[in-house]
Amino acid sequence: MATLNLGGKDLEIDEDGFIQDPEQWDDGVAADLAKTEQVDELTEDHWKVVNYIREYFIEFGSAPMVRKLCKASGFKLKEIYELFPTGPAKGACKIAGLPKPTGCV
Amino acid sequence: MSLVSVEHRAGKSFTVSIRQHELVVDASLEDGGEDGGPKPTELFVASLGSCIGIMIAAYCQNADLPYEGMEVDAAFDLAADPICIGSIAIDITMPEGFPEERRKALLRVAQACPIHNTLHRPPQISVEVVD
Repeated sequence: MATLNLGGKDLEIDEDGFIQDPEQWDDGVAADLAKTEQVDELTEDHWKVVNYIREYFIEFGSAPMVRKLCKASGFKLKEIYELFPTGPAKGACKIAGLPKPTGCV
Repeated sequence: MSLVSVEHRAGKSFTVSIRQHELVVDASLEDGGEDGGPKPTELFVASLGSCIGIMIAAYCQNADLPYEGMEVDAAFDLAADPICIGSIAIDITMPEGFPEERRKALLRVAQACPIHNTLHRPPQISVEVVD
């Protein structure tokens, strides 16, 4: 497990850059994680998505399905991917401090 | 029905041959591949999106409705235990001038495409190791 300075804190991350301790997440951590997912700066639209994902995870223990994310945020699929080029599962969830999602072969 | 041939190239990369067409399928870098082509799960969802597109194009051609430049965007979520595609979201964007009152009919057409039907009535799958 590696360590990376995010938001001014040295945090443990996995091989794909997902933080291991959700309690350490804050806006500064999110901003630095965003840079690793092709998002130079988190705009109000980005935060709308990130905050929803985070609130959903805290309540349900999992990431929201992509359609639910669209409905809640008001963004179409294409707009979600424009905001988060690496996708909602990898990009947005990582920035929101969630654990790494299920991968596939 | 043509044979769909999947031949190993290197690592987790395969060449898919369908009639005179070829494409490369690979695992992502995170999943131990070289990202040399789409993943099987992505192709699966693409088959639904493109099937919807073709059905809509046919419907619009028959009904003399505008469809040039239409787009079908698809995204999916993976589920665990077992690993599978847990949900698929499809957005259809029609060109300007497509009548609002035809949207419901369009959705019915999309939901009746062969791939959509197949997902609702999963086929028998028989896998064998042959000599």
